[in-house]
Amino acid sequence: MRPPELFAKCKAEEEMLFDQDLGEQKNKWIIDLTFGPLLPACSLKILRR
Amino acid sequence: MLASSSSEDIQAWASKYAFLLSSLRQARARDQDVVWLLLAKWLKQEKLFTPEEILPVGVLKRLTKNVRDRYRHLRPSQLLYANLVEVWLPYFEALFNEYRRSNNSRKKDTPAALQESGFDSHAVGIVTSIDRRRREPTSAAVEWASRRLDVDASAVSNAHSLVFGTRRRRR
Repeated sequence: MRPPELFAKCKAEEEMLFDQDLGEQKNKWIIDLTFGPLLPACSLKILRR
Repeated sequence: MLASSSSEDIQAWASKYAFLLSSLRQARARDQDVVWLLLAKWLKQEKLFTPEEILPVGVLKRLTKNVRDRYRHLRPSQLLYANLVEVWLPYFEALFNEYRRSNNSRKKDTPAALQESGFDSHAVGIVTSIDRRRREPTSAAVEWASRRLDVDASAVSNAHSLVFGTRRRRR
């Protein structure tokens, strides 16, 4: 990707971030951390953390 | 969908399915919440349902408790600071790659060369003026984000370390 295109992509993501409610962002982040990818390498011990 | 899939795709699906079944069997013998956790992770990963859509409220609360407790002092604004750094990091990684290439080819005017390559002049200014010891993409993205937010760079840096860790992006 060329620099101006990459800049525009980051800028668009920034705008999306600013449009989100801060409390919602934290809730979404907690969900993403708790329910991360289900990888075959994960043991139940890791999933329980 | 399976009709158009390659044999590698089918093998990958089969192995994923076998792993899921085996994990669910183990989980069933141990703890019902782990069954919920596995199903929620799987359905989220497959982009079919969000955990909030399928989990009973009490289960969702129990499963997220550890993470909520661990980050209970994290302010939502700190999460915004950290995420903003992550949003801009790919841009500064690209800029640093070009910066190193320009330096290695011993071009006389690196900032001008970077701008000619299409990089933003303010971003180039940050990269070329940043302290040599801190000269890496994350520091530059922190500086950039702090200017966008009009907050102190140390507050942005602390938030980013807290959320994403200090070592994750080191390459």
